[in-house]
Amino acid sequence: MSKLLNIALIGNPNTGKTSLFNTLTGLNQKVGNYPGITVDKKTGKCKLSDTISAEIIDLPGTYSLNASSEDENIAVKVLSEKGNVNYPDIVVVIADVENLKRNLLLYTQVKDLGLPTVLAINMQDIMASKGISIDIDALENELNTKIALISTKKNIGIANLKEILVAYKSIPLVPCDVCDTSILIDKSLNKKQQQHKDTVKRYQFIKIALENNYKVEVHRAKGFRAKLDKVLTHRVFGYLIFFTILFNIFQALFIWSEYPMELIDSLFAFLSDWAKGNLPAGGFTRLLSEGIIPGIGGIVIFIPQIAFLFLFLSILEETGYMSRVVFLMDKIMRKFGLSGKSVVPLISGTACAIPAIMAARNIENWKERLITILVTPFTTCAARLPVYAIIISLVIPKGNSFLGMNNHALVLMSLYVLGFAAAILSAYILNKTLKIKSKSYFVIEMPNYKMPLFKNVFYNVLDKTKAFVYGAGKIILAVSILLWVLASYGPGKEFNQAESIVKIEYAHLDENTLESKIASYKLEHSYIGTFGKFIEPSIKPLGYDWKIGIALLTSFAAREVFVGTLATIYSVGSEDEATLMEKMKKEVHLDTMKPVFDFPTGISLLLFYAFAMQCMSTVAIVKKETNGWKWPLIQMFGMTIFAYLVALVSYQVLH
Amino acid sequence: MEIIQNILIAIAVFLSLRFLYLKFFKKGKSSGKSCGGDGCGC
Repeated sequence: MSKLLNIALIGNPNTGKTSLFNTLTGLNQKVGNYPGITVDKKTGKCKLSDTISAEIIDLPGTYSLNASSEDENIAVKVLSEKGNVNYPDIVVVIADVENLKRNLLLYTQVKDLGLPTVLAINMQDIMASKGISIDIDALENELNTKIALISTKKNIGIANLKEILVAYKSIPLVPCDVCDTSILIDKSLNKKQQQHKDTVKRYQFIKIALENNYKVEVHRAKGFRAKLDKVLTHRVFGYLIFFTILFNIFQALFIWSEYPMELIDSLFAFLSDWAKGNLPAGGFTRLLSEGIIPGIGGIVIFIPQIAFLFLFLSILEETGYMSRVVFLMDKIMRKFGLSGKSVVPLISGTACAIPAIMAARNIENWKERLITILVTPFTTCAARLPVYAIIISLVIPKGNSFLGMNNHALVLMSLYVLGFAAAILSAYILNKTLKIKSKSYFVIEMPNYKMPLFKNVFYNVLDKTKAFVYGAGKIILAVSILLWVLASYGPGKEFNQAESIVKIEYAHLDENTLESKIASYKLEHSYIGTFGKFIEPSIKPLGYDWKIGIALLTSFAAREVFVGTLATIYSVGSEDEATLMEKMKKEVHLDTMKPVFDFPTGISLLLFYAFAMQCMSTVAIVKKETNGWKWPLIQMFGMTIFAYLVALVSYQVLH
Repeated sequence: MEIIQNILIAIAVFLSLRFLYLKFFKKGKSSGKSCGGDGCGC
């Protein structure tokens, strides 16, 4: 049996830590949680030699072990508590060859913990172009360790790193010993001052270690990056370029996803029909064909769009452009009283509000953090995308209008901008009402521009899409089952004698129309229909009928349940194998025979979903982050009432 | 056959209710995650 080593990867952000993790572990990865806290724990298996394998843990990116944020706390806990389940046999500190001096601060702190510590210097491939040279042997002596010069991009030096890890027992455990104990016992210094003095000492040690062993020909290192930075963060061109990129992303989301989405839609319509025709007739078969399959289909159909969204976001992140966007947007954010650090949660909020709200933990000032937590759910998360996509396709005419732009893409982009605008405007109001006085500082590292690494982009898209589909899929499956039951059974004789009532009332109709009338009558008098009718008066002024009302209610669990719910409601009792989109298009108000999903209703729904707080998981995480129910409840009711009013006004104006 | 199908529906309803209860009211026990499995795309 092979031996299993525990290896921890640690490094500053943007050093290629995750690339190294991906290179070492490939597809053998899993994402979990550290016990008791909500930060993701990434682990993976790696074979180091024929007899030795390793369990690799990817610790959160950190600049030092001076724990000031939750992420840094985790790194300190894992590396210093011998009883910790994740306590490693070896630590690999990843450093970026261009920023070695700064990266070595973390190395000296890890080395001082007395663990076998290997230094992996990444981005070996750019050394020649940047005029960097390193005397590895001499540096190994200075730092008392083994050094692997690697390039995760070009897969260089990985075998050497594995050899070093296999022979980890030969690594000296001697600490760097730069910490001056007199600093720690000096009672006139507070903790921050102690850390400051300690850091200065460490940098003095690093300076000596690098003095003759690390050389950079400065004139070769500058040039292209500086020029590009000037354009991308320019006060006019910067925004212009950013919005052009954003628009092209949204355009591609619709155009590229069209065919795979149609294919998936038809596939689920076929599956549903097949189940109905080939499985033994009965309630469970109907549950499968009218509840489960359409419900799941309602979310699977959005895989192409979600995957493309994350593909573009990963590419922007990987190239180093996203940091420029954060820097660029910081100028705007400050005008609205938000911390520069709030930009990160707001941008991550385009994926999901939950990690975004957790990302607000690195904002030290409590009030600024609270405001960021409260406004982040306004940014358009991935869960809104399915709702937007289906409504836009239904009510916005296809084709190009403004400057040759695709109408659908234009509306989608406007909704993203609207979400962002709502976030910063509400932050401005909260900032004024909550009276924030203290200041905080914004520091962001501008990583080098680089070609995106295919495997990083691939794993990121795979992870995010899987999390979305499996996560949403489970909820939607459960909700679809319950909805189907509530829509297929009902109280009283109206439901039980629906067939005879309709046959008497509509005796003149042909058989097909009669069947459809019976199904519609049954749905209306089912449990869900009765409840939908009960709440209909409160949503009618917004342009919604009781069926949309049911979808609104169920989507309080999670926004994307809206589409799954409509898919289930429109399938119950229906013999029609049309796709969800076709069914929604055909849906008419029985009294006026006008389409349910017309322009005013569509816009009203889009606006409602843009502003409403419909995500129970977000409510839960806000409760956890603010330590109580006060803020999540204020946030939920505030956002939902605002969404209701905006949808009401828009429908009444457009109608 | 109808009885078996009804039993299957009852099991599906029970499992759905149990899943949603654990998901939203006993979060720690259902998944151990604060952010996983909610369809949030993170």
